[in-house]
Amino acid sequence: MDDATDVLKPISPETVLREIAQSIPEFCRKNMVIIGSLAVGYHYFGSQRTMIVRTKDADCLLSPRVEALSAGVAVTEKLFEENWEFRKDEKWSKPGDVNTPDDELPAVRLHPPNSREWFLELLTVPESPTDRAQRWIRLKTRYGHFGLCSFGFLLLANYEPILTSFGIYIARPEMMALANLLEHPEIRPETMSGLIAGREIKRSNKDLGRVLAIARLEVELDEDALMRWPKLWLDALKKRFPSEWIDLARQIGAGIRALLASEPDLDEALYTCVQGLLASRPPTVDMLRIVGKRLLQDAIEPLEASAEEAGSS
Amino acid sequence: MKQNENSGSKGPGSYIPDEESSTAILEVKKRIPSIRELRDALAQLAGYLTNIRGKQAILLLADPRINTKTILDEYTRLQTAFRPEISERLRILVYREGAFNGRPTDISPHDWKLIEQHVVADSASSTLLPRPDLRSEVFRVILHEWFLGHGRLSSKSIEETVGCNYRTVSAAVEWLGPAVKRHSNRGIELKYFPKDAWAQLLAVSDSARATIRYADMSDQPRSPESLAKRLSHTGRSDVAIGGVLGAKRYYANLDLTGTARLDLSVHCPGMQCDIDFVRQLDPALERIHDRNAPARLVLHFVRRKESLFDRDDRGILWADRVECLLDLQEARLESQALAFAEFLSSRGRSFSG
Repeated sequence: MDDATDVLKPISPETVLREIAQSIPEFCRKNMVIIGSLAVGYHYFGSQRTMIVRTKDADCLLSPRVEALSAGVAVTEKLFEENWEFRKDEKWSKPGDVNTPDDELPAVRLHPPNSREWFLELLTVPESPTDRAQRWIRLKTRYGHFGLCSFGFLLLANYEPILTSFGIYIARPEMMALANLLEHPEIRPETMSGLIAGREIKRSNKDLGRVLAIARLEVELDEDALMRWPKLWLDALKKRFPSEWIDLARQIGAGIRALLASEPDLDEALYTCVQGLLASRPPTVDMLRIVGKRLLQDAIEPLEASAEEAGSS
Repeated sequence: MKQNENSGSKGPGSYIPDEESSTAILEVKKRIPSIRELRDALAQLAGYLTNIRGKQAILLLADPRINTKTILDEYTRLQTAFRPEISERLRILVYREGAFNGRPTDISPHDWKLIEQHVVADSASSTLLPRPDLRSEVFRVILHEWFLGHGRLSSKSIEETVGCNYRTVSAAVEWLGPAVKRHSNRGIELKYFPKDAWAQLLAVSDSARATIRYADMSDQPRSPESLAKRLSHTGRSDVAIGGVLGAKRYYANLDLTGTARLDLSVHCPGMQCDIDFVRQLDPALERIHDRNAPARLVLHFVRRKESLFDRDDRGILWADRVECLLDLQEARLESQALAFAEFLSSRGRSFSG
């Protein structure tokens, strides 16, 4: 049976985080950072048990890199022991084996016992700050071989993560926003592998839409919160990308500016927000545009100015 | 369209349009003064079009100083001078007094929307003010001094503060009638709070102060405190905080917790004022013309020569007491305005006896 569908299921971030934390080996909890919409959802309305997030995957980042392999094996084996099930799709009907090439290994994507509502996926951070290509490392487990994927700016997702009461971490929303901004300096034509609520969506629009959703949720908590982001972003960039941070900071706003300038792309971003993180209080396209303008003014432009100043001195 | 932030530096060979979309480039010229500048702008766009294919070039003339017929005649004449593949992609739009001269159907709806946004943004950044109401300014200065307990004033000092002549001061004093005691050597002194004149001022306060209102369009309105904090980042030394926040500075016992809007006084003795700082306060603010609609930000223009703004130890500028009192009444905070007026008048009364 193929488990892959395009349907984003309404799930409770708190329930998912608790289930993951309880199922993995205790000694691995310190290695696990939940990223993506579940982390965002837990951060902004995790305490509201009735609040749900529409998603289908729980992205779990294993770090530091030197411990990711051993933690990945331990987590995967423990989950299989706890009756988590391999998620089948068109490409993979079962885990890989010793004969499967590295770049054809399936990711660790596991459904919790007796549920097809969502699945856990394991990822790790890149080996070095300059390595931003998609890489796979082999996880050899008693239940088969899997690939542990790293890519892009995942190094930012484990920057000063927030410890949850379950003993696992969630990524800071502003760091996920920063990673997405850097990942998409333009609106690229590649679309998501599956449909989002029946609609084909460019990956850039989905990820940049996530940035706007985070900014809107952040402003809901504190109207001036975005003004604190430039310093947090600056510190993170300097620590994670010490030799590149100026160039990275200079390009941080390009993607959002392109999104705000393109009505069809902004509409796609809005659609993903309304289907996902902003489902409970959906904004209009004009309201989302204002979120983008505020983000530019409060967070992006000050960071760009810092980079320009550092670059010219 | 993508707005080009660095469009201010345009040299030959390095032309950057003000905005660019996948279907068009837009060049905006504000208050263009002469045919020569119009020709230069069209020639620049024509040159640009020779290097790009499949895009229109739109020249938007906002409030040009030359008349529309002259502009369109020149445009038609120049079109014949360009190659057809250039002239058929070159468009000109004149925006004057809130309207375009026409609406070419071959400009895409998306580009139209962005052109309109540009025009709205431009009109929001600068505003042309009506002639100042100097009689009102004289009255407010006299009242301000009375609130401070300064008592007797010379006409000369009022003339210098307002930036007017003796006749204007004299006319205002005449209008205030028995509320003013005249001394020798053109000295004057307010005897009591002139309720009738105040009521008349309130009735025309909107026009006397050229009030402009803005509403929040974000569904996540910023508080007046947040807007005020952002004002301090704009570096404007001609904008002061008034309204409830200002009144509370002078009268801490004002019976009001929280406020829904920020009132700012903008010092502008001239006829044109740059109000671009509004966008810096919050891009969600949009100008509204309905007095009864809830406003998030309200600007009042102070037209006299001296602003009478007060800078505190933190460098924050505050509007004077009279402006704050007017703001409370304009916001229909009647009981608070009454209490504030009573508080302010007590000082004047104590001097007047």
